[in-house]
Amino acid sequence: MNLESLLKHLEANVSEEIATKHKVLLNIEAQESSVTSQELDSFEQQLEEMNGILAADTSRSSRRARLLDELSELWKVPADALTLGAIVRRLGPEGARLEELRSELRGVVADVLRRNRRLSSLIGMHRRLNRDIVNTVLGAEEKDGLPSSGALLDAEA
Amino acid sequence: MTSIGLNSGLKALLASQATLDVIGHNLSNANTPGYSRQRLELSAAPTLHRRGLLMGGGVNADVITRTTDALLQMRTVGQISSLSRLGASIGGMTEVQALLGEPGGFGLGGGLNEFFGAIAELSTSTEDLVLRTGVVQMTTALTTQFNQLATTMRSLRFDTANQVGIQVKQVNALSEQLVRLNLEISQTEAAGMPANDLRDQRDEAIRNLAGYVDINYHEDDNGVIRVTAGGRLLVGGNRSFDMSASVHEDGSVELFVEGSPVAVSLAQGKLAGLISVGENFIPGLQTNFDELAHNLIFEMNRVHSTGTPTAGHFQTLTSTYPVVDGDLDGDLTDELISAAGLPFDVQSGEFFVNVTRLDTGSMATSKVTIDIATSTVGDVLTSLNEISGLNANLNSFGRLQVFADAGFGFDFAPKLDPSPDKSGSLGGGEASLGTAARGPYTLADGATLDITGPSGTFSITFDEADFEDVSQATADEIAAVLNANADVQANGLRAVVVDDRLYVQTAATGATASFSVDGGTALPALGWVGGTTVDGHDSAVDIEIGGKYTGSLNDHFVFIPKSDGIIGTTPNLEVDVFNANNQLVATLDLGDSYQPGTEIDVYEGITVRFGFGTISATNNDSARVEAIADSDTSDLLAGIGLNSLFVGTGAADIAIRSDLEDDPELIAAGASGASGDNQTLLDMMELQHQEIGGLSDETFGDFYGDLISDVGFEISTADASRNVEEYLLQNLEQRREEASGVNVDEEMVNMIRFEQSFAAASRYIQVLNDLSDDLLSLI
Repeated sequence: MNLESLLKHLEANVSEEIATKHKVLLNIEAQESSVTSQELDSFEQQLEEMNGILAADTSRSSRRARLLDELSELWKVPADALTLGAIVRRLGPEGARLEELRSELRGVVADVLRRNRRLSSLIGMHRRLNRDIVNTVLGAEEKDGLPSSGALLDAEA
Repeated sequence: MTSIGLNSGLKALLASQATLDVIGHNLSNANTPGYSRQRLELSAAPTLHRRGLLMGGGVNADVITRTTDALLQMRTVGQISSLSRLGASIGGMTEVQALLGEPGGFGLGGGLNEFFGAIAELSTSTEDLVLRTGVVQMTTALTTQFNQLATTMRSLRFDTANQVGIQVKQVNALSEQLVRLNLEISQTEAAGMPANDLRDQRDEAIRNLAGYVDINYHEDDNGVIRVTAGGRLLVGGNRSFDMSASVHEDGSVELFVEGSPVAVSLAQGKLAGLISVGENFIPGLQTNFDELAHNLIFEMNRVHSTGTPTAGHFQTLTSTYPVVDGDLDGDLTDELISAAGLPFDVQSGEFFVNVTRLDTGSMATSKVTIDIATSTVGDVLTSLNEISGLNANLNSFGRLQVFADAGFGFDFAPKLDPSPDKSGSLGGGEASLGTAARGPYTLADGATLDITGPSGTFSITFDEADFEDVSQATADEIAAVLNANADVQANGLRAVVVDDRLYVQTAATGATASFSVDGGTALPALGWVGGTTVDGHDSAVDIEIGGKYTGSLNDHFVFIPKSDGIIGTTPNLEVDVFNANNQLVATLDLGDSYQPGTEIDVYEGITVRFGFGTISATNNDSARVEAIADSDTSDLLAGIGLNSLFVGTGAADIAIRSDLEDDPELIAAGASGASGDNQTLLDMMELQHQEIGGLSDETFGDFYGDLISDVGFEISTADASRNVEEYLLQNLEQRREEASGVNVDEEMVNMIRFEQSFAAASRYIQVLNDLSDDLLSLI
């Protein structure tokens, strides 16, 4: 694959990543809404959708890694040194489109991180209240009966 | 992070906190009666403008609402009223059923059986004083049961009325509670706050109120409800109207609501149930027991009044029931029998009085006729006083007193007069001439009758003033004119009436006694021929009636010779016997083959013995025998309470006659008082199995049995209805629970699902975070 072709594939991959992150943002928003309004069915539906989004990420990441490997071989530079910023700088004016996409991707990923942390806090709080109520109703002997799985991020928002 | 972002996040956290609080509130009140599930209503916060951008404002927790169904609540309220009414009714009716002591034989049924059983035992040995005492005891036990039933029913009715009074206080307390809740709800909601729990309390109060009375309610725009019961306002906007119960002397109760003088009528609720028991069920039973007692008194007294005590006759009797001065003119005697205030019905008919000479044992039976349309108390007194050896008056209490002259006794039994021919009109020693036909006779004013007696010839002139209708002159009227005539008296003559026939007789007996009818214008009407001479006989025919009349209706038999002759001597001498319908029922052969004094069967159990003597068809000889099946077809004796077994008129006052209680010998066993005469007792026993007109043609036992089974049926019917109503209420409650209640299981399942989802979400958050970090390092 020549440079031009590699560039087109990379731009497409980043565009796809941006679109996915927008979907993630929408999903996070929907999760927040479901949790806040205690709409369990809707919450479970959002989680299923998130599962699908994350599952598709693996193939997209693999394709991106292969593209970066080919560029690395073409430009004779180590692959781990090839960030999107480094690639844009090497391309010069021909990397203008990729620069736009890189900037957009950075914004949306930052948004995802921020909303993800907020969701993490929200769910953490609900989970604690939920457990308190369940334990109150079920009593001491069933207190430990709830499954304990998954980890929560520290709230930073 | 921006302040907008922080604000949105805070709102979300607060909203979710509130949501969980609501869930916790729901779970805490899962078992609170009447609690309605609550939910938090959320909405998107308004969009905010910041630096030319439209930014979402997060989520707002708007209001916590109740999940209720007003129609379901209204139907539940109605159903509670129906069920409560049935519950209260069944409670009251079951109490009454327990009081009756049936089944189990502890009730009145057992008392009736023991009463009739004691009479049956006495009938086997009428003179046994122990058995007579047994009848008194069983009668007293029975009347005591009636009295206790009546007293307890009355008490139950008052208890029910008192319960109504107590429950009315509950109604008023609930009305006041509703007023207070109305106020709190309107104030809370006016401040923009939902009053969910207060509304739940108010719904619960409405349901409680519906348990007592059937209510209608309506909520206005301010959240205030108005409640009416039986069309009257109980709860207005800001005040309640007190209900009150007014208990009357008879135990009936009326409900009023403050502000209206008209009694409230309730159809449902506990109060309606209690009132229905107090107003319908118990009075209905009281009426039935009164009917049973009333008819028992009357029917037993009807039989007992015509029986005789061991002594065989009475010297004096006083009626149980006084006559009253219905027209308030101060005179009791002018009262019609039908309007004399007697507790039992008297009808047109007759009653017989037997007066016995105690020294000779000779008895005379007299008949007193009652025409219910015209007979007065005075007429009865007059008729009784006309009977030889008998006197009657009203005492100061208006009670009829009958007493015999010294040396006489009296009774009202259906006896056969053993010597019916007191006047000697059939072969007596007197010279006797009778009319061939029964009266009335067609006389004319001024008609004459010429007679020659021992003292000479005289003429009697009939004056129309002495007759109600001289052209329809009765034998009694003519006899009265003759007996009042001085010449008739001076000649030792008299007039008597036998079977509506007029007889002129000498007072003296024997062959020398004689008179003749010479002429006069009255002769054709009387069927006599001028110049007829009649002589007495040295041997008077002795007629002795025996046997026992077995006919079912009162009758009389008239003995009329077919020819003249001497009994037991003259060949082919016969006597015809006619009944009251003038039908020939027997012809007796008294000719030369008859041995005077021999008993001959006449008819329906009656026998006769004729002694030696002369009888004459030419002189229209006849004798009449009363055959009495019922010696009081008028029911006057039972109606006024002469020689009764029971006194009183109903269940509350039925009792054994006090002098019977003191002296069991006064219990009537039979018509004669003689040893072995148990006819009165047998007749009383027969009443046990007789259909009684006053009890809808049922026997005493069947009427009582029906009464008991009706109580059971009414309770079981109400119980069946209650089961249905209960099912419907459960159904409604279930639907209300589905709509408004808190299902702990369902809530818990949701909580656990949330927990699982939270765990999953946490994992995704972690993955997403890692991926984002990776991407940031790539960028």
